[in-house]
Amino acid sequence: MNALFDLLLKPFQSLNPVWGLMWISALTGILMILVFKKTSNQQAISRLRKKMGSRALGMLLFLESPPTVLKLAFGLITDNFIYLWHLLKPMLIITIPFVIIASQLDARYSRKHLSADNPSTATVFWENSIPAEEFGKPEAGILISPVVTIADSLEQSFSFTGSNGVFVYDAMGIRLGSSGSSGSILVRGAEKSGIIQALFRPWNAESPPGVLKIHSHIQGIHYIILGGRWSWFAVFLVFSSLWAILGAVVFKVKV
Amino acid sequence: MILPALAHGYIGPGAGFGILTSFMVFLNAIAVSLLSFLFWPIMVLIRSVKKSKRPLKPRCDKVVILGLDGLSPHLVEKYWANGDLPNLKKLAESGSYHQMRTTTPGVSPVAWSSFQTGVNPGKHGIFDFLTADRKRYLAVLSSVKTKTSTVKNFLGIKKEEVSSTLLRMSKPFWNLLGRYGVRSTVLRVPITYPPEPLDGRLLSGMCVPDLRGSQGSYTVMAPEGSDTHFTGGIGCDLRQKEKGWWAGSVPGPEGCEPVDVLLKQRKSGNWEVHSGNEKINVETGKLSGWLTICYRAGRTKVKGIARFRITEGPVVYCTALHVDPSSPVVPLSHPVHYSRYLAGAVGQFATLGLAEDTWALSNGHLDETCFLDMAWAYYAERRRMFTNALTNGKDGLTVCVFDTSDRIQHMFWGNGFEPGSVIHTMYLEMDKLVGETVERMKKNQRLIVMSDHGFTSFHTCVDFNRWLVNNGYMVLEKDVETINASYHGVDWSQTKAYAMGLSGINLNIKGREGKGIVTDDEADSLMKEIREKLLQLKNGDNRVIRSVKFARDIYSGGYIDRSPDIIPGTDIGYRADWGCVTGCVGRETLYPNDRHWNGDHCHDSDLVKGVLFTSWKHKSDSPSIVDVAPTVLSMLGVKPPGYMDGRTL
Repeated sequence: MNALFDLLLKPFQSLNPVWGLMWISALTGILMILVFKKTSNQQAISRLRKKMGSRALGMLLFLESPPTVLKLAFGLITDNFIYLWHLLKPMLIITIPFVIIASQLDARYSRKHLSADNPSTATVFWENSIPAEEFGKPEAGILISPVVTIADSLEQSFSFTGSNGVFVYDAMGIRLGSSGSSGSILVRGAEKSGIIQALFRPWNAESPPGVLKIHSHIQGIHYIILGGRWSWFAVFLVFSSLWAILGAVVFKVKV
Repeated sequence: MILPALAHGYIGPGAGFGILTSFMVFLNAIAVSLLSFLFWPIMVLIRSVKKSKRPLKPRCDKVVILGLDGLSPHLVEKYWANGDLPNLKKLAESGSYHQMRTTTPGVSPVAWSSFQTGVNPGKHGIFDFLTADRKRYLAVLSSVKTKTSTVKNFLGIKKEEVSSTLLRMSKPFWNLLGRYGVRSTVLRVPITYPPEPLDGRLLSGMCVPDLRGSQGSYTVMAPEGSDTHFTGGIGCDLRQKEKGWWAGSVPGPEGCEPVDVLLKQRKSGNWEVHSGNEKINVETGKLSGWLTICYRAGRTKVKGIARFRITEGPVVYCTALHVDPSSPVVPLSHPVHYSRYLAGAVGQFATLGLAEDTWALSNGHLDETCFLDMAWAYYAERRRMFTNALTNGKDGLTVCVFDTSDRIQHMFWGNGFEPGSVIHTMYLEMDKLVGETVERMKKNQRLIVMSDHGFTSFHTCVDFNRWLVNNGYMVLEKDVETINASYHGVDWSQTKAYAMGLSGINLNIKGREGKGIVTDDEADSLMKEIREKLLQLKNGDNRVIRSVKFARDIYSGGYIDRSPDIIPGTDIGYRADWGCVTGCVGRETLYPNDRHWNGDHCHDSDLVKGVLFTSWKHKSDSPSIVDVAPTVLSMLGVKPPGYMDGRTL
């Protein structure tokens, strides 16, 4: 999955990250609407929409008769539940690819590049015991606070800054940050490898021997679009939705 | 947690919109309900004030009128004698039953216009299906005038716009009820197109055109079929494509490209018909449900609906392109969104004025079974609408006209009326409908079941134009023996009279007609002369013409000039021939009617009386169709206006 996204984002490597983010959002919007079309009962949705529209019109037509309006309102709400029921299947199917895409985008676009003026914190959870020896200096980046050890929970925490986008501390088995190119994965932790990690938490690397997991807290990033500060998720939400609307019109999808 | 922290509120495009829309629906439902409750007291107050001004004391809360077009009193009485039609019998016993006098002539546009206005045709101006364009000697639709005009929109861009005007004059009685706060629901009453504003809801009936602007033009597609036009329809080629697919083009409105429909035969032998994004399954030999077909006129979408039937060949029959009630391109109802409401509430429905495709049956493109399937499908749609109207209003007026009875009698009169016959089955079904309606009626509500005319047989055609030629009243140009269209070949400089429509002879009056020669002084004696001769017309020993009436004697009002001058009333079995209605002249005055259309009511109006059942007893022995309007007005507390010709029953 990482390789696929690297390939999709290759043309945007040298551009501002927002372009890659918008490209994936557009692609997602179109693909999701097509999946929705394929997996939903379009005829039933169309029929139901007509019926619901008719009930809404009926409420206006019979405004002078509250019992009729109530009857129609009740029918409308009942139809609404049926409508939600029709959405359930495509929703469940869409959830899986959606989570995978969102995870990839989170891994690539949610955090600031590691740099000297961007201090972060990291916590290492050891598997069995905390090594007794001193760790020395990191290979890349700077430790800006001493390592704090909580022996009972086998945790060690510290704050750091990166250098050229990475923080490498081989003594503890820590390699955080990204290659620096736009849209590449920014590693911000580690855990035991597995399918869940590979698909849904691509921001985690494989834990080194003796380490259970590594968590880091790297500052989030905001994108300036139309004069506003947008989180990666807002960009994704808005642009994928806009493209989905366009897709729904072009591919005549009943939503 | 698997999801990224921010993703909890987002399900993905598509389903996301769905959820959003669904919340909007909840909001809408709650908001409109609240609105209804807020406005209800105000509306009740306004309505009560209006109602309190009614000059008469209302005798009931609600009147329901069930119109069964063409229900014949002779058949009703015949079936009663066999013990059939128990619901109608019960209604007659608990209320009243009478044969009801119809208009002259007893045809639907005239009779239903008199029904809704309470006046004779001289006051509402409808005398036949067709009326004469006297200047050009053309037969034109009597009830609707359509014109195309160029209009500018707010950007100043010019656009062609088609507008229709209802030519029926006077006022329907539901408009008078509306003045006093009494609401009406009017469904498919003939001659209500284009719909006029009223206090209530109205769905237009007879004369609503199809998308081609005609009164019903179907399409037949067959392999190597050529593009042909025939009476009632169009023939088109059906092209074979790869992998069992076929494609045919359905011509639509003028100015729009034909739309392709794609057909695919399934393994079961049945078919799928596709048009754009829409698809419908068609069982071989059976009539399908509705399929939406979308045309484009520039940027405007023009939507129609049609049913299909596919037989071996494949030969594809496609009904006339009915205006889609969900997205009507011409106004079908008042308010405009009433048709949209109905389409959602009861499903898509036939909107064409004369929906049952009698031409396709006559031309052999539909068999009897399929025609009946169509007629009953449309009946079921109407019934759902009627039930909806009955359920949604506890006071005021509800009127619904069912055409099924008329169409079936037109097409199956020759098959007989015995138990098990198509007509007998239809009468039983109508009786069942009456029974169900009676059950729905509540205390202090009144029911009227009526027909606009009765029925008799139509075995012999009378070519009135040939008769006029043979008697020297119409002269054809040199070497012209017969005329196939619109009097092309008539020598107007010597012609004194011409027949047009189903029951009218016009004099070629100087100054009135385009090339008139008959002076006003000559007219009277000429009319009398024609009457004397027409009454002598015989078929062997049988009388052909039962009566000849003059418009000036039987009509009163400001629109008599639209009427034909002489109205011959044919005897049972005889009717104006198909051609002379639109200005043709055949070879013989009398010839056998060999068409499937073998029942009719365009005869002397005394022979085709309708029925009138009321759920209350009244004293009138000889009610007339014009009496219904004043009766309903009185029932609901409104004084019938003086111009009405009918009297309160």
